[in-house]
Parts: sequence; structure tokens; C-alpha cells
Amino acid sequence: MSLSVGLVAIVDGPAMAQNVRLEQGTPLEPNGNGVPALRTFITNAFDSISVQAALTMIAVHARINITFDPTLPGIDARITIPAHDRTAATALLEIARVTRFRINVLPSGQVVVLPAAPVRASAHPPSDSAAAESIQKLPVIRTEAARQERLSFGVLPSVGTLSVSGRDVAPASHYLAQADLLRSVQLLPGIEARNDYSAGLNVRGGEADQNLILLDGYPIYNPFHLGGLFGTFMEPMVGRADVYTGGFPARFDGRLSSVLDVRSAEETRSALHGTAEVSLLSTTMSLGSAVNGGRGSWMIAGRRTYADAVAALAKQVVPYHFGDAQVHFTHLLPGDARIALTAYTGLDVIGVYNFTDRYSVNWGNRLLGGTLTKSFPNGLSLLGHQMGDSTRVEQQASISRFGIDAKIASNSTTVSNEANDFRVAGALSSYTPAHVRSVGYEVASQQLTYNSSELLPLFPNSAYAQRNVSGSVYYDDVWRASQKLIVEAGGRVDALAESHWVGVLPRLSVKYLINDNVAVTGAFGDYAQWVRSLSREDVPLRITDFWIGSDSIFPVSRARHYVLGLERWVNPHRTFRVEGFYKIYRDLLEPNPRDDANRPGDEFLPLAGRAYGGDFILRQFESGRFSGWASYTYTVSTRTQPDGYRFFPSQDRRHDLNLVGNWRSDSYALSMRFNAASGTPYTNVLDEYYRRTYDPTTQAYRPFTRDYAYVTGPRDGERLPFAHRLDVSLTKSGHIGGAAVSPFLSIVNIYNAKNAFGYGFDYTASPPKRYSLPQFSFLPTFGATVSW
Amino acid sequence: MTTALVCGLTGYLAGCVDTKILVPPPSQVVVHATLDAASADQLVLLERTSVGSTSINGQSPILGAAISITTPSGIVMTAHEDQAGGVNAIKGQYRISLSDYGVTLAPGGRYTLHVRTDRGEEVSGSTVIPNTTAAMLSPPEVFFRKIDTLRLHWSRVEGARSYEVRIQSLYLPDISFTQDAYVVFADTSASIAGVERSVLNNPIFSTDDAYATVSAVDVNYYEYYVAQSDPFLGVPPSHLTGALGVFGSMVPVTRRHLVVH
Repeated sequence: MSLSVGLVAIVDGPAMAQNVRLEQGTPLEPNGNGVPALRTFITNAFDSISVQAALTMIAVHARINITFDPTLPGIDARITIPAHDRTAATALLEIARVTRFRINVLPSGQVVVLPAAPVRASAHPPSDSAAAESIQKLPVIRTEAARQERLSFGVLPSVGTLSVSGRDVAPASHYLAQADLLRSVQLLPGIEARNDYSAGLNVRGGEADQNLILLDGYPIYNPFHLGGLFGTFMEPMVGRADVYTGGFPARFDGRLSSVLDVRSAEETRSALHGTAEVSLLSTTMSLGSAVNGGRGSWMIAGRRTYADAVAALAKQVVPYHFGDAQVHFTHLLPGDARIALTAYTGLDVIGVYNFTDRYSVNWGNRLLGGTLTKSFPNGLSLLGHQMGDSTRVEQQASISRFGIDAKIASNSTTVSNEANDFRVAGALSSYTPAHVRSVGYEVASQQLTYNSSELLPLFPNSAYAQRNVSGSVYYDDVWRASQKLIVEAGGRVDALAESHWVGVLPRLSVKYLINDNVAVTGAFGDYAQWVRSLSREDVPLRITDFWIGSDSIFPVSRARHYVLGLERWVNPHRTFRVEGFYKIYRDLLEPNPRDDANRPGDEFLPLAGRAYGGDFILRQFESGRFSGWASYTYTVSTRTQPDGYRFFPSQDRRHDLNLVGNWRSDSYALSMRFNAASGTPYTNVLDEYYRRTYDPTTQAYRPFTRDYAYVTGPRDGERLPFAHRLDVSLTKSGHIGGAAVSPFLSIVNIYNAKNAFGYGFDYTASPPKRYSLPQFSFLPTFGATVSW
Repeated sequence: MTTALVCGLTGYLAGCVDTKILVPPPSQVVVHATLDAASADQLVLLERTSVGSTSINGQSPILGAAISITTPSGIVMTAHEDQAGGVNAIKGQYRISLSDYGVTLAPGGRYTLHVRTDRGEEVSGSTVIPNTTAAMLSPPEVFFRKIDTLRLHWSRVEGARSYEVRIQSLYLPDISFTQDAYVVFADTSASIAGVERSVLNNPIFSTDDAYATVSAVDVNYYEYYVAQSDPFLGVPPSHLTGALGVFGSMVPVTRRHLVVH
């Protein structure tokens, strides 16, 4: 059984206007079934909350269907809410509280929202049809959006957790004419990208391969295009993204530093809706609709760059393009089971084909996953044990594949890497007023191969073929110990067949609510990682990652997190959070660039490490004309080689400040992003010489048979200079016919700051020279977004 | 505009490159010396780093150095600076003719190198020659590039760290036009298709005459040449004292002459 709300929620005008008109069915006497249990989760009173916020949250985040039900006259919208869903229940009850509505449960299990002063009362619960007998016309109300973060503030520890919604993505980073989730995420505290060309995120001092990227709960291995310039997530398909920068709970594992949990957007409107974003670089289109009376939805999006095609018109060659396609489908099955399917494919293509040469490099991700969720509003009984007031069971399966296939010089040189990830996972969650207990499992198999036919600079050397099978179980309990204390405790047991490794990984998060708006938090956790990248962290250009796993030779990498923080809600739309962290790494493995292709086991060098620091964010959520945030991160990260040499790794950026602002008027939206960051370490080149080769065929050295050898200073012993940059984007809102048309102009690095992401050295010149490798210079782009 | 955008990712950015003049660092001595058991002459190449500062034909040679190699039996062989000219001449190359000392390189023997430069810098190192005798060059054999595959097999050699497989196509008689060799390290076998091309997309078997040489190499040679070289790594491993570079040894165990069609 599920709880439903019969109401009409009509967004008046553009979604941005946030005007909501409610119409309500016949008032009924409350019987309150199920509501008290839900109400116990409400611990904080908010100054205001909007229906729109609730609807948005319900539809997007809580994975609730909003459907239009023509069978109920005057009650056009039906919201189906799993009874145990605290977020949705909280929102629902807040709607009632703030709008002075009451919530009542019909015999059918539906819930209606009623005015506080009933027009007509009845001593007996009426039938569903009675609920639709008359319609109460309510005045238009002005609402202001509250955020998921605010709603969960009082119910979850949420240590190290940050969220970005689809609406945050577009204004925060119209980056190279693309609204990009990953570029938005990089502006959050604790998260940084080495440079404009790096396919990786460094979170709180960790390496770029230590981040678990999930799309609807399914792993995706390389979520970047073109060396990190763009992410794989298309903005229209992004519902929301939760980022866990430390101390993340037991249901996540397999990476040491962070989790990025991206959820697909779901179209909640009937009829066909869509967007098209056309820019100089690419076009992104999306279509979607709610179907079957709101019991399901589908959404599809595609994107392709066309610099290659445009260049061809000018008889020039740009041998690169990439494309994406993503589909997300949900449907409510009989018995209130819900199925969700997600498919994604993305491909980067570099191809040169002419008379003498053929080069092709193709890489990309493919993902197919499905999740089946079944709710039991009255709880499940297992072996005579009642599992909560309500219970939810979730089962998912996925296939995720990353592959790169490089054929260079007419196929004479090949580099290939494949990561095929198969997994099934499930969870059973029970809900009581004081506890949310979850137990879950995961069985995964990863087939990982890497092969390079030649010794290539900067590329890994050896060949690998691995199959990892892992099994995991976890337990997690969110315990409302008191009105002021929330504890999330649990742990995982991970087992890896090839390594004969079993790890017990405890997790603990605590939130103490000083008052309704202030809390102190803390977290501790052990983490393990057995899939890692062969890409070298010291190399600033990170085109992509090459994945291999742990086995009998390569140990599982481990990390321990300690986090302590303070969170304060200044008002319902403004929050402040500061956290300090301390992380210990052991058995980190870095690729050994000097490994011997004929000697297995020397492909990695072990590292130990530590990272500590703090970050804060002051965030203004969208409520008026301004939204944005200021974030700052201070990090100290160190690594120690087996020979005892201790150094600051190349991701050790001490200071990172981001100011993100979005100003909206009725017709325009101005977005700005300013970044100021201290330099990251690099290895200085002190000198160079020719490495000459003796030729036994001619028994001589020949003057032009040589390559360069570089005399370097201490590893990562120097730092790049301080960098700063301002990106600006201006969007005009308008309509053409029934479509919203929003042309935009985006300028990267508007004052053309000269920032370097590395240095090149030329000691063959006289005198020797050092030249900087520049980040993006002043770079304007424009485009338009059309939505209907 | 799209072109500009693309250029923004490539050439456009290059226009914003800042350069800084570096103070030339104190140069270091670089030694390249590989004892070749199949050669009557042993070569030592002596140069300096910071090749740009005093470059001669792309070199910074060290002239006037005193170089000696001592045999396992204690015979000290002195190298003489090459005076050869021509396009293939390399300044800073020193030569020891074994016949001058009535010496042949002893398999398994340890040889030591000593260098004293004109500035008084001292360099030393040693190598142990893989314990086998050098193979003779096989008679020419026909190799059809489009259909044949070169298959090489050899036995392991005591004291060899690895085996260098080198395919050298020569433009005879003027080898100055000869392209770089195709070189890989292997264990006991290698197969190279006739149509295979190098990383630079040059045919490996590009001329009428190609020579396939498999050499057993010592640890010094292997570690120095197998190492990747890029600006993030530092110099290749060297077992020399007082200099960068290598003093290693090799013994050709297979030498085949292919007449390529």
C-alpha cells in the first residue's frame, strides 16, 4: 500500500516563477492512519516551505511519481509516496503545516490534503468518490523553495555531503557552452580538478581515481569526455547529484575518497516535453513524458559535438567528436513495486584517415542498469520478526563497461583497456520512528584488461588481464537516539576472491543538534579500493583512466577518514557548513613508470599517505534573485615512497576558493564563477641530455639516433603559481510560441588571466627556456536553450 | 567560430604561452658506453648535459678526456678520441681497439670504466658481460615483406638481464639516411610481421636490407634503455659514479641479414 495525495498543483507560468495554485477535494475527517509514524520524523519547524519545493523534491529526489488522474474529478495530480519515505513524508507534512492544510488518509490508502478549517466534516471516513464531490478553490500562493539539505538536516547526519540539483548545474557552469554537472561539482568545497584538461576529481587530498561515480546507483568508470573538458552527464538528464566527500555511509564502498551519486531526472508532466541546447560546440536534446496516468515516466537525451563537421565545411580537419545518449524509464508496477531502468552510452572518437596514416582512438562508457523497488507500508514480517513499521526492498543489477581502443600508425601500435563491471545488489530497509535500518549486499565481477603493443611515453607499459569477483554485505542504522542526537552506525564486510582478502570496514556518523538550526557533526570510517587507474597522478594531462584491479600481487588500498564539522542554517535558504578532515592512506599503489613489461609484479609502487585540512561553504539557495555559494578548501596532502621519501603529491592544492553567483531578473540571468587557487606541486626539470643508443648492426653510435632524458629536481618539489579566473555567463529568457527560448553567452576567463597548469622545458635552446602550459584563456561561446 | 573554439584548445592557447629564460645549470657528464662482444672496437661517448649551451651538431661533447677500461685480468685499455669526420661523426667519441691490446671480451667477465674529463671530473662504472659468445651474421635470406613474419627464438644466457631485439633497415652504403631501428626487449622469442610499422608509422622493414639482431644485455644496459623517459620521471637509472648515462654490455646471440622484397 502506498499513500497518495490528491491535489492539483499547477505551476503558473515558467517554473521559475514558483506560483502554485491549489485546488482541493472535499474535506474529510482525518483518521490519521500511518501519519503519526511519519510525523515522528519531523523534527524541525521551517519558516516556510513550498508546494513546489515539495513537488520537486518528491518527484525528483524521493523518486515519487506525480501523475495526472482523470478519474478523480478536480483532483488532477496524484502523488504516490512510499509510507516509509521520510523525505517525502516530511515534505508532505510540511506542506500541510505551512499551508495550514491537514492530511487525511482515505480507506483506499490515499491521503488528501485539506484546508485547516474544514468546509464540511464527517464522522466517518468517506469513500474516495466522496472526496471528489466538491472542489475547494484556493487562492494563488507565493511559495519559496526549500532544499533537500534543509529537510534532511534534522533527520540525517549528512557528514561530508553536498548536493547539486539539475537547476544548479545550468547557471553555475555554462562552461564552454555546456552546462556541466562535473564542472559544477568541482566548485564545491573539498573537490578540485587539477586543471582544465584533467579527467579526474581530487577530493580532500585524494588521487583522481579514488572517486566512486554512480549513475542511478550504477558505477560508471570514466565520466569525462576529451580529457576532462566535459562530463558525461547531460544537464537535462540530471535530477540531482549527491556528493559525499568523506565519512560516507556503509552502503558505499570501493573507492577511498568520495562518492558522486547522480540521479536521473524524471519527467513528471504528461504530454511530450523536451529541451534542445544548441551551441557552437554541440547540441543536446532531451525528450520526456509521464505515461500511463503518471504511473511511469520516460526521458531520453542525446548530445553530439560537431566541430568535426563544421571544420569539414571549411575544408579543415578536426578529427574529434563525442556523443552521448541516455535513457531513463520508470514505471509503477501492480502492487506498488517500482521499476527503473537506465541506459547510457558515450563515445569519444579521434580518427585520422588519409593516404599514409590511419589513427583512431575510441573510448567511452556503456551502462545498463535496472532497479526494482517494493514498499511494504505495514512492514515485513520475517521469521516472526516484524521489520519496522514499514519496509522497503530494493534489488538492482547493472552492466557497466568502459573501453578504450587506440590504433596508431595504421594499426601498428595499439593501446586498449577494458573494464567490464557486472553487479547485482540489493537492500532491505525497515523504518520505525527511531530507526532506519538497512541491510544490503553486493556481488560484483570486474573483467579488466590492458594492453599496449609498444612502449609509449606517458602510457602504462605492461599487459594485464584480470577478473575480480567481490562480495559485500553491509548494515546501516540511522538511529534517532534523542531529539538532539542522530547516529548513523554500520559497517561493511568486503571480500575479494583474487586477493583472498576480507575487510571489515566500520562506519560511524554522528550529528548533535544544538538547536533547530545548528548542529555539530562527526564521522569515522574505513574504506577500501581494489580497482585503480594506471594513469599517473604526476602527469597533469589526464586524458582518461586505464583501470586494473587488485589481485594476489597488488594489495587492496585502504583509507581511514575522520571528519568533524559544524552546520548552521542561517535562514531557510542559507546554510553554512565547515568541516575538518584527517585521512590516513595505506597501500596506495601508484603506477610504476619504470616497470618491466617482462616482469609481473612491478607495475605498481606502494605509497602511504595522509591528508588533512578543512573546508567550508556558505550557500544561498535559490529563493529570490540571487543564489550561489562561497566555498574554500584548505588541504595538506603527503605521500611517502617505499624508500622513505616524503613529498606533497601533485594534487596537493593548499588553498582553493570558489565564488559562484547567479542573479536572475525577469528576463536575464547572470552567472559568475570566480576561482582563486594556490599552485599544485610539480617536478622541476633542471637539465636534459640526449640518451644515445648503440647500434650493434653498424657497431656505432649515430648522431641522430637519440631521445631526451631529463634531469629533474625532487619529486613534486616545486609549485605552480597562484591562479585565478572569472567565468561569466549571461542568459536571456524569452518565449517563442509555446516554447521557452533562452539564448546565452558564456565567457571563460573573462579578464584573460594567464594561468599555467604545467611547464615545458627546452634545454636545447641557448639560453634554455621554460614555457608555461596554459589553462583556458579568454574564450567566448554562445548558444541557446529551447524547452517546451 | 567553431574553428576558433577548437583553436582555443590547441593553437589559440599556444599564443598565450609565457616563456622564461633559465639560467643554464652546471652541466653534468654523460657517458654512453656499451661493450659489444661482437665488435673489435669498443666505443665510449662522452658529452655534457645542457646540450643547448655549447651544441655542436646537437651535441655538447667532452674532448680531451682520459678514458680507460680495465679487463678482468687487469689489462688497462686506453681509449683514443675519434678523429673521424663526416656526417656520421660524433664528437666526443672515444675508441678502444681490442686488437691493440690483444684482448677479446670475456663472456661473464667484469670490466671497469674510468673517465677523467678535461675539467678533472672522475667517472667510474663496471659491467659484467653476459656469459655467451657472440653469434656470427647469418647468410642473407629472402624476406617477403607482405607475407612473411620474422620469428626469432633464442636461449637464455647466464648473466643476461634481458634481450634486445633490434630490426635495423639500412640504406646502404650511406646509412646517414637510415631511420631509427625498431627495438623491443623480449625474453626468449619475438615475432614481427613484415607489414608491421613503427610508432611513427614507418615500415619496420623499409629497405632492401634489414638486419635483425638479438642481443643479450646486462642489467646496466637494460635498466637504462628500458626506462621510459619523460619530464616527470627524471633520468634513466644509471649505475655510474660521477656521471649520468650507462656503461653496459651486450652479446649478440642472433644476427640475421634479411633481403627484403
